[in-house]
Amino acid sequence: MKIRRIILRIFFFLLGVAVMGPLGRLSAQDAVTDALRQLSSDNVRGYVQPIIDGFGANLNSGLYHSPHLSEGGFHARLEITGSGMLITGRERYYFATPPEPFDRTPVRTATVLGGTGTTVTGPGGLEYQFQNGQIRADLFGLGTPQLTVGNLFGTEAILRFAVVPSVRDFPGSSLVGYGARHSVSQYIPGLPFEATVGAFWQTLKIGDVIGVSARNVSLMVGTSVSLFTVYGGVQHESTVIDVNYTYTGYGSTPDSKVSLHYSTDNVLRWTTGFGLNLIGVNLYTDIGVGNVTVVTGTVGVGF
Amino acid sequence: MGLAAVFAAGCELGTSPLILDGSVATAKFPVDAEIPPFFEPSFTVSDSIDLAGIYDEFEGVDSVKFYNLTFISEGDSAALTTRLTGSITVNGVPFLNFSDVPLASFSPERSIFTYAPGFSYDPGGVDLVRSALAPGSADRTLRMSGDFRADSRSLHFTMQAKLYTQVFVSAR
Repeated sequence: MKIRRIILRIFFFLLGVAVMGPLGRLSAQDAVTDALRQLSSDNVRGYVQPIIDGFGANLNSGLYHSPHLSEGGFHARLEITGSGMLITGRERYYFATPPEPFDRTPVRTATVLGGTGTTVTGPGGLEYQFQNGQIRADLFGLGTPQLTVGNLFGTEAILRFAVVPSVRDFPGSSLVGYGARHSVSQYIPGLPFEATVGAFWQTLKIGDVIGVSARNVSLMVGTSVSLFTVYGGVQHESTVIDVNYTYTGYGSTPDSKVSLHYSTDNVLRWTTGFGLNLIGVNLYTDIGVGNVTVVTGTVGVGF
Repeated sequence: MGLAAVFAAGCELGTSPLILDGSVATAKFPVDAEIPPFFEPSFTVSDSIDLAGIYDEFEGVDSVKFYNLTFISEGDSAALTTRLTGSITVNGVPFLNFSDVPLASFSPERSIFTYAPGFSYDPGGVDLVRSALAPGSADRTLRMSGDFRADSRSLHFTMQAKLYTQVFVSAR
């Protein structure tokens, strides 16, 4: 049970739930992992789906900004992107199925981001209460570094890389992402705006227990006037999270292996934003609207 | 940590009480007998369940409530055709009633709150179980005993009563 708590603590930490705080607040994060134990596998998915969606959307945000790509000339830019999923009513509730002997009609109840779990009544005066929400927040965020390097024939490479060594009970983790953007407007002279297409893949590993894979393809358009850039576009994205561990808590056996597989419900997201291009410093902010809404801010240093 | 800098506007964790599954409390009634022809094919069973352990599983438990009680019969196919008539009491209070009920009715596991022909439960027994789990209850032991008459003299099976609970842990 200790191992499971630690691993799931890391999982939710990197989902943006944990805070760098005193031990009391870190201990509070166990509430989230303990909360999952109460739910059947199907209900678990509904309960945590908002976090899965938020993590996937955050990971797939901030990749593309200005669609301007010259045909050649070297440039490099180091960026820090902060993304945050807005938590609305939609993320706070889902429909869960009560267990037997209660009526199996799905009922509306709280997700991990919601309030009080719904109580259903059954025969013999029985009551069953679904899990309460355990995270009270208006924004669910994630920050990542990335490096963009280009241009070669109107193509720019985007890289994300970070390695964190194991520290005490926390296993080592790594984030690797790579992709590219390519200018399509270079083939269409006279186009009043600039357009690029992009693709990006990311892999996040936490020890040998948690693996996250994200994919993103996009079409971005925009234009620049003086120091300002406005842009927008559409992206198709997917994120898959796999958790594999051996359960060692109460009632476990040597073969108590647990395998959890989550995928986001985000598929298509529309983005619009603007940027400020100063000498050596670029600032961007945008909002992406899809199954979830994500606001993103990026600071880039480079040339 | 460059991997993820986290920010959460107004984020609070663990502010609501947790609801956890308590470990399943089980009463077992093994029956293993060959009844001679000149004796009535009847038998008695008994077992106790200590529910205090459920409160000890977690820290900061506010209350424990049960949301299901099941009955399960285990044995080979011939044993499960045995039909029983009798009753089970809990702490002397009538609880479960069987009127010519085949053991197969409870294989697989079945809630006592779902209909089975010839089977019924007493609300008084249900209330006793509920009160044994209530906060501050002085007696958390359920002493279950049963008297049965069977339609077979070869009795080789096991019956189990299982109690499923929710444990309410106060917010941290």
